[in-house]
Amino acid sequence: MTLTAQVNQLERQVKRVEHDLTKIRFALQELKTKRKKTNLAALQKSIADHLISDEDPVETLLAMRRRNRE
Amino acid sequence: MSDFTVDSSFIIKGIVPVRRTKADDLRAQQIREYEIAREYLGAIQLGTHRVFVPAIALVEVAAVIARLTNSREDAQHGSDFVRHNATRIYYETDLLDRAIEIAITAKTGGYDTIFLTVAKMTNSTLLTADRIQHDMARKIGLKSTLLYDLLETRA
Repeated sequence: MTLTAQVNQLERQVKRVEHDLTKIRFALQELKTKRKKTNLAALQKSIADHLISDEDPVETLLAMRRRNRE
Repeated sequence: MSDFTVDSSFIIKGIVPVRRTKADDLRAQQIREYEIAREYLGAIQLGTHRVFVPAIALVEVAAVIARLTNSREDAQHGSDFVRHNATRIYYETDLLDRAIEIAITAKTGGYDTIFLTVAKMTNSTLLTADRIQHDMARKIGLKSTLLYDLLETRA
């Protein structure tokens, strides 16, 4: 089998696997939505109760990213 | 229904309430941004929008909440919130080839490239509170909405 034929064969395999993976992901997503979700309001209240800094959260994140950008 | 790639900056803005007590313009702006971002997150939770995030968003959200609260549980729950409400989470293996292409084209760094790649792959609008990232997205022709700009539309 030539290299080109091998590449074509593997590409077809990849597409098949990707298709199967997509179906599995959709099934997983459906299950997740049925599962009890994190309650946003309760999470916000808990965070508000525990905040130890009044720094803007975006500024905290950007400070972390700044190192990566520099 | 709209499709969004949501940056960590937008997510944490909607999750972390404003603690600043000084009654000034900055506090007023922070509260309005928080309310708008929270509104989007609420809609996402209801399934009104499809949301795509790279896995790194789960890490960044956990890191910021941990730093601001020192609470392991809150950080974990914040990350769980993203995990449970994302339509799809993109992992490195899903993105690598296209991320390299975007990094070469846009000359962007790691985090930014990952979010831009997800937005491009899903043809979705980037929602971000990070102006630098927003500008990068626009520069390479992606749809992007900056949280700050939403303040004017809601005024």
